[in-house]
Amino acid sequence: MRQLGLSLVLLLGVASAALAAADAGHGPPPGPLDLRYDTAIWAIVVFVGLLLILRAKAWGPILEGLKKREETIRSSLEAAEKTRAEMEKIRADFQKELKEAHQQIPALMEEARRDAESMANDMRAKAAADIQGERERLRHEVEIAKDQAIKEIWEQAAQLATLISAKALGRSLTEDDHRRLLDEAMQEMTHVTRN
Amino acid sequence: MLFAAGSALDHVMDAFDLHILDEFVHLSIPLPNYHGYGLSKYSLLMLLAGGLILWIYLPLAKKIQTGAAPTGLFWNLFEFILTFIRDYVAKPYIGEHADEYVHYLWTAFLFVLTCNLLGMIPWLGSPTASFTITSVLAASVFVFIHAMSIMRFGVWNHLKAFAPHLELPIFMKVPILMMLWPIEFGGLMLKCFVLSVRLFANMFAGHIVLGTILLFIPMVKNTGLALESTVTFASVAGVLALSFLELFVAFLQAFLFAFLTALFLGGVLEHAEHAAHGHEHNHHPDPADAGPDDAHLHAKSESSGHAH
Repeated sequence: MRQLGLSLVLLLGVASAALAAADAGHGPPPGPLDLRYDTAIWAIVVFVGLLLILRAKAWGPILEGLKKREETIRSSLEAAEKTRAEMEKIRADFQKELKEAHQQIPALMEEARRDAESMANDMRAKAAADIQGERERLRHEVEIAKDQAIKEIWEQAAQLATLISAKALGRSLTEDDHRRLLDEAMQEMTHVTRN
Repeated sequence: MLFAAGSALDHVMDAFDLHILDEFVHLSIPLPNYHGYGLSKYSLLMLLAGGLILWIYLPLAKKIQTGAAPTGLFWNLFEFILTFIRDYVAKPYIGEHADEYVHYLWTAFLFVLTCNLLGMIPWLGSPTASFTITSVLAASVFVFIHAMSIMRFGVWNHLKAFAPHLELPIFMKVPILMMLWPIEFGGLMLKCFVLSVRLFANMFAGHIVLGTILLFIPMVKNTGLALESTVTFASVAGVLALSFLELFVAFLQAFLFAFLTALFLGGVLEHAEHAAHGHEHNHHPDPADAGPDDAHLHAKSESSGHAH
């Protein structure tokens, strides 16, 4: 780039020398169409100087900044696009899951209903079994109580019969007579009740 | 009357003294010169233009270098000028290597524009209304185009860029090329010369028209209040209206200068590249005639060249 600047200066110098040769060298005021050596030198110095200074101090940094900004904008756009795509994907996944969940709801409800039903049935069956057991137990107890009562009644009836018969015979029977009589009566009774 | 006869035209001429407010106080500041050679008014204005550009763009460069987003009118306005030239002139007409050459286009555009606009400020003038200065600028374009092409493709390929590709036997090709090559090479020279004439003519003619309209005022001096006031009003209104046109032309010519430079450079680089890499692509026979865009622009520049 330095060589470029130098070559520009050299070539423009040659060009200006040619212009100067064409100049007749008259005095002021300079006409607009005159090719003037001094003005050409000034123009070359100012323009080339401006070009070199700006190239070194302004255009380089500006170009760098513009490219940097373009890169920033491009990468920001890409990042935004990427984020957008990701969001879209997440949203789609979410929608899909939501839809699946919606589809699962009737099945879940059905299952829950079935569970509740079977549980209710179990409980009902268990309660019925409990009641049945209790009833059996009560019947058994009643049965025992009845047997007991009947037995007591028989015993008392036997004593009563002994007492009555003793009074009716007017004589006391021996203990052995009593026992024999009682046993006969008992056997008879049992026989009767069994029939 | 405001103007002494002739002084209106003096404002578009180069001089060795600065007349500031001379219509009121006759203040004349002599500029250093030796027998009519030295620091003329236009040279001083060129220095002023260069200084203005540096004053604006050196601080701006530090801001833009950060790569941050532009803020504020100053930054946006002056950066827009650069991005406009880069995106709409350099890139479409030079191609992928545009950033290597955009430095010159920026400098040329800003320098021509600032010089043109200085002519819109009272008591100053447009250095671009001097044929010497526009010639130097055009010569720099010529040198720039050749230098860039040689640096990128070498001298031989650069010289071959000016030789049209001919499907002819060698005994016919050589004499034809010997005739065509100088024409092609001279064509670029002529285009650069026209570049200087176009800029000079536009800037100079614009100021001449403004000066001439104002000269109507002293012409009707001492002819009665009615005529004097009518002519003065019409002249001032006309100058005001044409000044807006001048403002537009100042931008247009600066743009055209940069645009045509990019176009010529793009054309030469394209042909030098073809010369360097064989003729596998479509070849344009004329190195400076870069297709429909070129023709379109020529029509545009010619019509603006006849604007005054």
